[in-house]
Amino acid sequence: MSEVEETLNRIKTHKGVSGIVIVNSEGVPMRSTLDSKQTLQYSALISQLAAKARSVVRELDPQNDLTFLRIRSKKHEIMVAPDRDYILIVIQDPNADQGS
Amino acid sequence: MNEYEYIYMKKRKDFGRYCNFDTVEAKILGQVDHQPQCGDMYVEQTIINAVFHNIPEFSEHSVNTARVKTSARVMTHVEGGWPKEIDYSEAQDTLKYRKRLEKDPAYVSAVRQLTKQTVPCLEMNNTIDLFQIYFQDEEPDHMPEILNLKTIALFKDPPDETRSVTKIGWHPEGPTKLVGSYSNLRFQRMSEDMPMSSFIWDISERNDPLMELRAPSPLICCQYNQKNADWLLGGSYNGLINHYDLRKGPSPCMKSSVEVGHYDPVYDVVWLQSKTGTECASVSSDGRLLFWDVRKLSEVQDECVLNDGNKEHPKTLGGTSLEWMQEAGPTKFLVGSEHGIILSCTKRPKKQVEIGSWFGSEDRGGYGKHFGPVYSVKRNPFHVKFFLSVGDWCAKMWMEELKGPMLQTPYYPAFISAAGWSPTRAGVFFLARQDGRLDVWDYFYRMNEVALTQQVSDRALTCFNVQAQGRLAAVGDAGGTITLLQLCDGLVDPGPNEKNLIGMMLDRETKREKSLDQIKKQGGVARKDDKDGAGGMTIDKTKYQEREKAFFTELNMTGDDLGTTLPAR
Repeated sequence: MSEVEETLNRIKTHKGVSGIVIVNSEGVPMRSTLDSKQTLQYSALISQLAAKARSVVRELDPQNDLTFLRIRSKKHEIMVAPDRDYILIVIQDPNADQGS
Repeated sequence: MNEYEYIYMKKRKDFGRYCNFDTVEAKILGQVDHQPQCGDMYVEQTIINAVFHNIPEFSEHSVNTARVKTSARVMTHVEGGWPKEIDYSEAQDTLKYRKRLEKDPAYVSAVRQLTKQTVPCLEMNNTIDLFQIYFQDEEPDHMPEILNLKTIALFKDPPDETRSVTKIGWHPEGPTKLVGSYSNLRFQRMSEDMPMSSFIWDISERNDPLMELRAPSPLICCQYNQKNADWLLGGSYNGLINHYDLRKGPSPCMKSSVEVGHYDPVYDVVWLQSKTGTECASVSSDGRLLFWDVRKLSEVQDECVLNDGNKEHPKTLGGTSLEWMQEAGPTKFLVGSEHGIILSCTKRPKKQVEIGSWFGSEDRGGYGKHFGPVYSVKRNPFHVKFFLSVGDWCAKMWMEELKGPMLQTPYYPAFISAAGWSPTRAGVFFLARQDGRLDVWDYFYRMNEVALTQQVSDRALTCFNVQAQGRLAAVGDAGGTITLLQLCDGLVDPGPNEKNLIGMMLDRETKREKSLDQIKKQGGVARKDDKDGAGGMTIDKTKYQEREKAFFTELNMTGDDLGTTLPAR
């Protein structure tokens, strides 16, 4: 098993994690645990949002940079970790145990 | 320089006589030589204009920003940015490309780095609830003094010609859309080329209407069907009923026939609740309340002539407003008339529609009718037996079993054109005034004074409608503008036990009216017995007033300030 695989599996063991997507800077999904339709949606929408968020941070202060983006929603939280070339998207439902 | 003179003699007695000139030969008396140095002596006088005054100077200038027209544009990215040589629909190609990228050592390290960042967040979420609400079950504490209305949007009638908004209807499924009917109700003030259509607005799109409702004659009222939001019912100025189906376009899909419809402008329409959801009723100033089925608008289902109840010479009363509420009884209709009387009609199946009572009609033993046409009759949504009406400079509250008004507001300096209850708070109602103000009364807080008055428009307000969730209200004015207002929490969230307390208050007032009635009746009997006419009536009245005063002093209030006591009859 490759190292990437291993790290992803480790994330998956956390409570409430329902999906992981890795997208490259062009918005191409590299690896995903979601079905293809959702993967496509997440990668397209989140990569645009991350790019926009990064440009906001840089516009406000050119020396600054975006390091992490958390989107809290009614159903879950989307965690976006942007890098120069790749974006890691993790979808977690923090109330998973309460719901079930 | 030579001196020249010409001497002539005249006798004293000839002084002042009219001259009598003759023509004579010209003769030279002397000569003045040309002197060039005189030209140099010529000095032009400099003219100076100066104005003085001792008043400070002011100037006035006003600038308004131009209306910015915005529109929303969207683009979607469905696929990521694949390199040019790869066809993203080919699974093999994309797989190969991914494999190649995955071999990149930078990828592995990036993933490792990103995971490190993400894990703390995941753990944090699992350890504590960041967004826990601490005071969930706490009752919100509202200060009744600091109520406010916030204008959040203006919808202007697109045509240039001024029309007034005559009715506003909300979309039944939420605060997203509203329909405004535009017309000019002033007699013969409609010009030839006045636009006829009415508009549906999306509340998030202020510049352009969402949809147009075409009509051969301007709509005076228009309402959404509660069950089927694609259906609208419009009543026109020429008396026709138009049924719109939005799926079929902006033109009415069905119209009532001229022969059976109203002869006068249709002032109000309501959809009734039935299995098919197609039944509706309309009222017009021609004095008829008509019942329709939109599937068959060519004929009237039922008809009720609104008369004043006089058995020998019934007088027809023109209807100006209509109220129907499922909770109050599906057979009951309240009609406000041009004469200030409110009629209660009952429609039983397979029976003639009959008029049950005439509220405020002096001929029928009532009192306290409005001095103008009743433009609005609204039942309280929580206590349906009680209803509010406006028709002159005040609003009156009635109870179904009483002949006269139970409560009334003090007279306003301006005419009141529309009214409405808050759908969430039992004691709150709104009055739209013709001086452009909107008044909010909160009977739960105080009954003697208005809770909030706000200038909404410079023009006269013509109609008012609160959205069913109670947070948004739309007000129309005579200039064709619909103002969307957001109500503050204090006007939306009901107070603790508000419904019951208001119910008790209304019952108390009913009881008071009833006992007053009884006192009056007894007084009448006493007067018949007492031939002097001094009568028990007056004694009872003073006693009553004393008691009332004692009651108010006990409560540290002065009765005269209240303004809620009805004038003595």
